Amino acid sequence: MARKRCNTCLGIYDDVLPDGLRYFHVCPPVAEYFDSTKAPIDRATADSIAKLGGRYYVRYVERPNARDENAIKGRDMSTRGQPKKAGTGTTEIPPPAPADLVDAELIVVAPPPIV
Amino acid sequence: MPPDTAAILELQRAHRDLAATSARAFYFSGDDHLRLTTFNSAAAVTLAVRGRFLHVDGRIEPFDERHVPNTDRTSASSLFARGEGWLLEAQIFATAGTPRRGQCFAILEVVRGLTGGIMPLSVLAQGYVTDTQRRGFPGSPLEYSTEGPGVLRSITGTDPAAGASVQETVPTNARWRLLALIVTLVTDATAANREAALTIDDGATVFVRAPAGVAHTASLTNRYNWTAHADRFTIAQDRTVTIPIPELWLPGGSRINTLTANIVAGDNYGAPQLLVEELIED
Repeated sequence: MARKRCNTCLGIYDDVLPDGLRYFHVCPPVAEYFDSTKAPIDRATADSIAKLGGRYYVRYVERPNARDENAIKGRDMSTRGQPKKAGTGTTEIPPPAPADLVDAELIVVAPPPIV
Repeated sequence: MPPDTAAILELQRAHRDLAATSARAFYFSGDDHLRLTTFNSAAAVTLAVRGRFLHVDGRIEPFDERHVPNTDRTSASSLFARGEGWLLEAQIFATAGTPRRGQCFAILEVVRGLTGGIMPLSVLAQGYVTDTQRRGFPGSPLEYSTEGPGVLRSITGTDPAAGASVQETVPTNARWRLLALIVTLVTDATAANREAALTIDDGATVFVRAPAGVAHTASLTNRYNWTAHADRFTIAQDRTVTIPIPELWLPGGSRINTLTANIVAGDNYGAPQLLVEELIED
């Protein structure tokens, strides 16, 4: 059992879960941003538009070099059981510090209402 | 010399037993063999195939074979040569590991040939096996992997990087019934009204979209809890939003995503926690 960071999406996961079963990581999609004229913009520009209360469009597409650890199925024995997409690999990272394991309740002073 | 009554009775009993078993015994020509195929997700499982084989010379031989399944739900097979005679009975169970129903699906069949083109001839037993529950020939009904209750699993998913969405995928050869998913979203100081939604797709096309229905403003932490059999409600102090989702069986490759309107680069989802019922799909 190891804690890993995906080198493509930087997501963190355990490769074996507490129930002993393997976990198969798949990178989430990545967003592509467009301004109100449907021209492509970068993330920072989209955030700037959001800060100003403006409008932009977003489309989710598969992340470049996405990793998909799910096993290939089929009758081809040379590929069966291999990960679907290796992506850019993973980096093993240390397990979380004990403090991270505590499910800390969020305490908010005078929380704003949910609208 | 007086007849040996005990010996005669023993012979009569043997003939009666043979007559009773011959109706269910399976004849092996010598080119026929047992094959065990498994689809398994549980860790460190070893299966045993035990039974008795009646050879043509009248010998009854007990046998005990071993098979180690894969742990990624892909198929693994073992062939066991038995010679010529009759398979009287056989059973399959786990001798190592603790697979639960829904985790280790086994098929015991008769095939012709040991190498090259192997021809399946007959299925003897088929269904889930555990360390305490067995599949046997004769007697056990042939079961599909997708029928009956599965194993309940609580799964911690990937903790995505800031600005990225949550995505969990139903593993290859698994079938999930999504019962609940909870995840925390921490927003940064950028002023914007985010709105979280859960989408479920078939690997390409979305067929469920369950928006939270609340605006998530800057510098806040909300918990989003998508749950089957729930009403939509919010708890202000705990900042938890519960959203109902349909209870669906999802085939392998289906994706469970968050889709967040107005998400900015500094917003950060935590690792999702899912409760699913799982079966082997293949």
